[in-house]
Amino acid sequence: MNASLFRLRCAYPKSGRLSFLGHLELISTVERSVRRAGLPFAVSNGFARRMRIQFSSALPVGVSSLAEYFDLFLTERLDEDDALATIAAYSPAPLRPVRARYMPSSLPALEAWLDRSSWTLDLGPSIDGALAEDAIAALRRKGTFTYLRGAKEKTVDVSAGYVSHALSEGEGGLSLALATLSTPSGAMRPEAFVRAAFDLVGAGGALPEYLRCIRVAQHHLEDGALVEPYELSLPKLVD
Amino acid sequence: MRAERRDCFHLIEPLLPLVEKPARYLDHEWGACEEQDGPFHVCMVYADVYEIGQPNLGIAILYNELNGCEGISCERAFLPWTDMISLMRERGIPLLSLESASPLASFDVVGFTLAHELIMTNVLEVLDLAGIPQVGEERAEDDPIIIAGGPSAWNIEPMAPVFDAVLLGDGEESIKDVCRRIRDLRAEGVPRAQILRELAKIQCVYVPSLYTAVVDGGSTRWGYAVPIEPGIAPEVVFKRCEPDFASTEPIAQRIVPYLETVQDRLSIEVLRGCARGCRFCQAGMTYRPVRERSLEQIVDATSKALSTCGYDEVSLSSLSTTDHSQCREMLVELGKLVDDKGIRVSLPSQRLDSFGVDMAAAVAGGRKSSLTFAPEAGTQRLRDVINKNVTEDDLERAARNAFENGWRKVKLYYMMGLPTETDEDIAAIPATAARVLEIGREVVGRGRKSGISVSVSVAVLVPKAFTPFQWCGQLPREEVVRRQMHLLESTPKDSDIRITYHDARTSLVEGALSRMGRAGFPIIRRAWERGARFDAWTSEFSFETWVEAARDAGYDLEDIATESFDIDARLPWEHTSPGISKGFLQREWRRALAGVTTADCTMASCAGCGVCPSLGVSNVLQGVRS
Ligand code: SF4
Repeated sequence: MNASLFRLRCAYPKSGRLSFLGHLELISTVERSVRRAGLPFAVSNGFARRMRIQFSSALPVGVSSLAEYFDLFLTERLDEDDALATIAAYSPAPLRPVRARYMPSSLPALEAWLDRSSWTLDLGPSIDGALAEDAIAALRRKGTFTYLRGAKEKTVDVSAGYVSHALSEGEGGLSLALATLSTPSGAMRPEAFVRAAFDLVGAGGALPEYLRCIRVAQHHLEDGALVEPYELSLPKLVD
Repeated sequence: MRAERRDCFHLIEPLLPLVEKPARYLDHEWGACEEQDGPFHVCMVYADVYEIGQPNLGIAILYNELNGCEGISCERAFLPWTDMISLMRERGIPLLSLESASPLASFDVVGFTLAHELIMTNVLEVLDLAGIPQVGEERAEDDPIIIAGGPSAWNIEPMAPVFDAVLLGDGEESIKDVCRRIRDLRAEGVPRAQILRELAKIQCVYVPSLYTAVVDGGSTRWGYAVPIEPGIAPEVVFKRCEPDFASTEPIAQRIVPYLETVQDRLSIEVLRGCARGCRFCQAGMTYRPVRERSLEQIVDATSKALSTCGYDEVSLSSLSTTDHSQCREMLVELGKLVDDKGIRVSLPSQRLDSFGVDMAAAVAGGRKSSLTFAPEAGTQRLRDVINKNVTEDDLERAARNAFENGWRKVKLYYMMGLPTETDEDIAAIPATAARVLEIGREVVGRGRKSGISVSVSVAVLVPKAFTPFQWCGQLPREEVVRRQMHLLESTPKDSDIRITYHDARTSLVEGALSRMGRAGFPIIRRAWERGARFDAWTSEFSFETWVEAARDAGYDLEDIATESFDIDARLPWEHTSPGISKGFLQREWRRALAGVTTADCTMASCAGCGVCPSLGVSNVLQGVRS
């Protein structure tokens, strides 16, 4: 890591129609916003000279978020709020960054560091809370599930990916708050988890065609404690 | 009847989680013109999916021109992919525009860009999905006026029943003339039929319904078109040509797509037209004369647009970019501009003879993925026939140059089925590839690690209207297949040479569409009824559907594509004109057969093609070409 670079961590939402952008589409959209903003970004030296930027873990297409992050490496230390205002002015509104702070260059890559995600899912009006509890309990007992991602079958280890859940009754029906942990082998997709759980108890058909899902927060998990994206645990402060 | 103009995004929003690449349907891209106040509304359509249609230069130019007009708004629409089409049909949702998500059928004017022949069934699919009658005659008084333009308008006859008006040539000004005229006449309450007659008075506007096809002893079986009443429309409609090309907006593409498109970069049209005179090339004949932008304009516009759009690549587009008289300086200047931002400059297919060492070095950015050359024919003899003025030495020099400057992969483009072609010409293709590979190995080294490879792509000649080959029939399919086998058999067993060739069946459909007259429309319509759409997609194309459609309409598809025309016959497309004279094309055809080449008028004297005198224009060069 080049010590003379400045690592600017930006928090942004992914909302509205743009929740339908795929991860690569999102990356190129953000990169182009940064280029339009004219910020002094660093460029990698390799064969393909790319912008030095890191993103938090990919959201499934159609999932919106209140808490996405990217780390942009700058060659000059701009004022954080000025940099934020400039990027925001050149970003599509549904992706407009809301916070920017410098972070130590020595931190691990963003995607690996932010390993704990919190989600809410709308299960719709026709689902009963007890059924949902049964379904989730059944899937946790079973321990794994498989689902199709494109043409590929993926097997997910529930005990590694699942952290906790809570159900609540809201206006539009039952809402599920789910916390997941991503592991080096991948992340557990909330929708796939919910569908697998309901399928297991023979109630898959009761779920809506489109499960509205929002990532509400991302954290780093350290020794069982949650670290906020802009917070640093003590050992990591050594730069 | 005209549909109501209203935002219907809520109808397709629930479908987004159910389809592939939902980003195709989102709109709201950076640079899109979201203010669509009208009151006169135009929608430009590219009848294929977003990622193919969005980078189209024609659509972008017309979009900007119309949105810059007082009182006129212009939106975009593309054909959804098959998954979305099925869902929309199932739920009775009509085709919508992107910007306002209004039904296409609610617009005043709907304009199609016809970039190639295989898009025709998609045009029918668009109209049907939009609930607009496919045939002009069936449209109601109030329905949108359906217009078209673009490179494949040069034989529009097979689609003549579909379009209310066709704009020939450069569209910058004519699109505004046409839309303003329609707006004014509509405001005066002039009936549709009369509006079409008025449009025919605008230079470059061809109104097919005002013509009828006459078959006689001097024509082909498709006949030729004449006005239904004397004086109602011009006997020959000449194209519009923008003489002061440099005064047009250099960067048309201001919309930055979310999803990866087939041309995912900034593109600047550095010049228009090409006078090399390749005898198979319709664009070369129909976009004349040559008009260059100046170095200053190009550098200035590129630098501004890179920062307003945020792209990391710029493509210097045109039919023959390296022919630009200031190409070297341009590459050097752009190289300076983009040096420290990881930006690169790319050129479309290079001209072998004008691709010098300095140009190779100046193409910036380090990422030298692969370099494309188009020798088009395997032997010097055949290159003379097609007027590709490139020698074996040129190719070897260019290849050496490319390898010395860091390229590792070279792509070579060829054609098959050229007039007078023999097996020897075919066998020369892999032989050349082997020589290029050997040069690469000499320069870079022989090991696996050197990464040298040569890929060869061989298309089938589709003889096009307004080229000197317009009289030749296409090579029969069986013979294409035999020559393709011969090509493979002649290829040395070396895993660093890759040969691919085009599907003979797709080319045959393209050939038939390029040659037939107005009476061929029932074939296209029948093919669509039988399910043909996305014909340019290998995954969707069905040859059998086309063969059966032709049979239903009483034709043999292969027969249409392979039929030669008499050199003196009146051809189905001669009532439209890109300005090039028939005498010139006939002379070029005779010279082709004699293996005599014709020089480029931007480097030698006028070759007498007729474009400049008939349109009152001339070549505009910024410097001396060499
Ligand atoms: S008329 Fe002459 S100068 Fe003009 S494009 Fe044709 S050949 Fe070139």
